[in-house]
Amino acid sequence: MRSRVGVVGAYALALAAPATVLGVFFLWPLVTMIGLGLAPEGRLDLGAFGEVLARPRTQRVLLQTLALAAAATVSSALVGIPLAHILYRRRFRGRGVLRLLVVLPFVMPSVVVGFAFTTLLRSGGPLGFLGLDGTPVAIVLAMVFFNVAVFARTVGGASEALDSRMEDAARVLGATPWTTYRTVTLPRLLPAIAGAASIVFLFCATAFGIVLVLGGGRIGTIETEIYFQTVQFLDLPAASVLSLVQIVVVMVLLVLAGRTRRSRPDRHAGAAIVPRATRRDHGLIAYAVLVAGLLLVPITALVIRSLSTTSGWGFDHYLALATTGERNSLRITVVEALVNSLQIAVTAMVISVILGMLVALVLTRRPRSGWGRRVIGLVDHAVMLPLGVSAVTVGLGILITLDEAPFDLRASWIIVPVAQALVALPLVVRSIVPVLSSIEPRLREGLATLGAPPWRAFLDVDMRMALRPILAASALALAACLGEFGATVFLARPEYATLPVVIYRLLGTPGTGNLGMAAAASVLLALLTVGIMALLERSRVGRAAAF
Amino acid sequence: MVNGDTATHEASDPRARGLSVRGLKVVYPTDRGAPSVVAIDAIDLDVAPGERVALLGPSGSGKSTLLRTIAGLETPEAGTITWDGVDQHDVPAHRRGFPLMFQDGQLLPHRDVAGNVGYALHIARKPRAEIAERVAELLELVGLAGFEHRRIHTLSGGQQQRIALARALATEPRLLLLDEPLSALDAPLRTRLGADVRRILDERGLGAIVVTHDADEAELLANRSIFLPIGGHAGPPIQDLRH
Repeated sequence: MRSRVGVVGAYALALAAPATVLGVFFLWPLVTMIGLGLAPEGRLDLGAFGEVLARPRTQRVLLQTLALAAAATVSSALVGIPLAHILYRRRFRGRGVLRLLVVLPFVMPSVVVGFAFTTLLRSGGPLGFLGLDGTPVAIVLAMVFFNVAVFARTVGGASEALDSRMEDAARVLGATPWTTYRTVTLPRLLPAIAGAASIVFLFCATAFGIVLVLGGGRIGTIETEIYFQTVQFLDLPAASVLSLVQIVVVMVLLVLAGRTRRSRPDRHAGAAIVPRATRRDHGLIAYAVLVAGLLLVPITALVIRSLSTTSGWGFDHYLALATTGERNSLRITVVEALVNSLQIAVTAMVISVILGMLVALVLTRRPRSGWGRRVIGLVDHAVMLPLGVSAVTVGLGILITLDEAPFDLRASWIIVPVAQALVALPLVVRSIVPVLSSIEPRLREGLATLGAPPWRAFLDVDMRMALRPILAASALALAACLGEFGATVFLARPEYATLPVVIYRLLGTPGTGNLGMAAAASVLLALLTVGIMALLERSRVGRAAAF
Repeated sequence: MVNGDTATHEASDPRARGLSVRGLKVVYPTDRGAPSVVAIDAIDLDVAPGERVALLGPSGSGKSTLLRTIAGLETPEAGTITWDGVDQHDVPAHRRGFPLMFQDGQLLPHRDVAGNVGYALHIARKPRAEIAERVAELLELVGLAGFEHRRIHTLSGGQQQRIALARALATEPRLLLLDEPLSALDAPLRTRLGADVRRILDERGLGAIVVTHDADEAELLANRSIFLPIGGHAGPPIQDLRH
């Protein structure tokens, strides 16, 4: 309408900051790593690449990554889809609490979850008799713990918006409830199920914290292998090769996930009425209560562990959080680490929300021109990359790239918040975009013809309506950054460590007092992240629909 | 942008009152070199001050596009739009004074009725007392006195359209643009609201362009109809459609 140059200029300005941050802290490290992996001596040498791939250890790890992810995805789907049905297509008292309990595990820090499952499953622990400690089953269980929420929430949201008249028609024609569900409802939910499945597979294939803690060094995924190659074997080229493999795997998954997302049918706001639960639903309600109860077990085990001291029940471990652990295992006290965590996470939250808003703004414009639409498609994929490429790769990339003046930012305090912000960015964008893109442009147009200049119409419509999702996205980003482990463990200096890193250190150093402290610290961290998300859910600010 | 070929930039011409559209052409770009879609092509239109004109046509005839272009929401490929002789092509939508009313209100959900009706005055930074007075006046005019503090989602379709009308009138418009304003309402409501809209416009001597696919709506709201078939070329004015 006004000059096209002006519009392009505005787009460019909005994308400048996110593009710079992503470019310097993500793309450049990525390219460096690719270089290290494919040309370690400075010239193209695919021999090193092939050599690493041929190692039996690498192949075992690759296989384990895919097998674990597949098992966890299928299991999460089987557990989560019935939950989606009962929690989102029926109304009953207590539904809100159940929904909350099912969703909370998703934001728990991975180290905490890993530790909780170890506490449960190790010999001597309450479920030690199952002999699952250190087995792949333990890892799959932990992954399911996390990801049931994705299926419940995504498929639930889609089924909530389904017009139930098709089901009614089937019932009237004589189909039983199960047949109706199988032949009418499930096929309509397939896009949502496929979308959730690809996201869960992605999360599981890039899982780091839980595999590190539960794998015991014997079972690993590509992520943990990258970590070990870097930190133990000091074989950076091998780590780079593995990162490359992972990027390829992840990109394929992201493309698949993107396809299913686009083919999702549009929701119809407000048309569906959710019926009250009847006696027939009692079985499913009992199932939901059972699952919610089981989801509470690992954390309960942690709490119990944190309260059991050598002299019976007590708060000794919590008091010990003000120390640096048995035999000074840490450089700072746990309380200091908590303060660090908060400072870093809040900074990271601000960065990721500002960048995320800018990106979401650009992504939700509907340009007329073909090239405009293509640019937007590109930005969409670019922003999702950090999520897929995984925190470990982000951290490693920054570690090896930004180590020469004038870019020696490793010593700078800003590096950890930026890395965390990159990991949180896709979550923020995915939370804000759906709301912004569902805003009817005619609202703005109507205001324009009433005398509102473009910036004013934008403020009064888009910004006003984005307020709640921005708050929700901020809470999600904060919780995610507080629990972030994969990138932070590479980049945080010991004096400036965060809570998850400190918990991991405590787990790794001998001393029973340390384990108790780790449990206490984990409970603290869990309360913090879960508390933020619970506040968000209850505050009616709206769902942070990050999936 | 206006194509230089057919543009005739008229200077302020005291004899040309009201809206004057000449040779208007609007084009939608498509992907990858496919031929662009011509939404409207070489349209001429005159609306005298106070005159109510209906643009009648089936879907795809480009009538909504024409309305949006007059409002300033679309940029024409060629042709001119003038008001009282002044060329509008450099005038942005928010300065043209042609409020656009949609078939489903498009009211701001997070503001109450008074907040919506008084929006234009709020933007113009009028004092609060004056805004309140004007809002009350306008609500009385559209038959919804006392509705100041109602939330939008509690209003029926007909009530929302009345609020939309009130909000448009608050701007002291030069010309009202209505895009199928009655089509979302049921028959008795349509007749009633249509008669009210017509009466209000007549009382103020306010002109309007009404876009519709329904001949009855056209007859109800306008003095004159222009028929736009698919392809966006205006046919000869159908003078003998008596209203």
